Amino acid sequence: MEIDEKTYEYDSFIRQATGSMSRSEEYRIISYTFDIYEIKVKVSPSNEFLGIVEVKVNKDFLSHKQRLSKQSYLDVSDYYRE
Amino acid sequence: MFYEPINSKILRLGDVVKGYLSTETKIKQPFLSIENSIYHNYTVNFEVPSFSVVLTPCCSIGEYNMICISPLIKLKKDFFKNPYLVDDFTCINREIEPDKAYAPDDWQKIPTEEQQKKLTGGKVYIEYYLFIYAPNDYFPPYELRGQWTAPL
Repeated sequence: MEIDEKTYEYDSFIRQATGSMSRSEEYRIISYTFDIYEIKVKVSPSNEFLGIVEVKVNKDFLSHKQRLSKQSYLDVSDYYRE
Repeated sequence: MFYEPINSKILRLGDVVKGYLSTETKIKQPFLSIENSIYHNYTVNFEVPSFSVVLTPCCSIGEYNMICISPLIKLKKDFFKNPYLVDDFTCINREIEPDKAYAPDDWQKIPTEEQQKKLTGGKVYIEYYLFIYAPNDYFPPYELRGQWTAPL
């Protein structure tokens, strides 16, 4: 079932509203990283492709390995006591 | 202000000053009513430290007519375990190589895989809440369990 953008926005608004108890699970939004792009794909509960919701540039250019190795502070307090 | 040839009366962030009172309040739990205060669950310590440090940003001192100061404290004795720190304690103010962050004995006790992981990350800050002043004529040396040095 195709859902137009306005419907999606409305459903998104309702789903995120404070105190909302509704279960609008007719589709899911999955974020997929492709090269430098982050693509949000809409799929049905059975993982059927329904459409592309958003494409944006992923500004986090660090690789997973770089992200793991990135550090600026080392906690050595246990080694230096009074 | 040992780094200036002529002392200024204008206080700035990081300036070392003398003659200020330091108070420290400790409470075991908040007393939410006057009845609870009879248990004396608080202590207030007064101290006149030899030196204090201005912590208020320079631009805020004049505006609010008040300053925040903290006592200048001594070095931790365990810093002397690390020859790299002993060579220049002020290196704590800057990023250092991870293997220099530990005393040699402590570094050797860390598994090799963990060492490599730390080294891969590049230079780091340690004890970031401290700032160590370089030795100067204004700070008298003191004994710290057999080690002589300048105040922190």
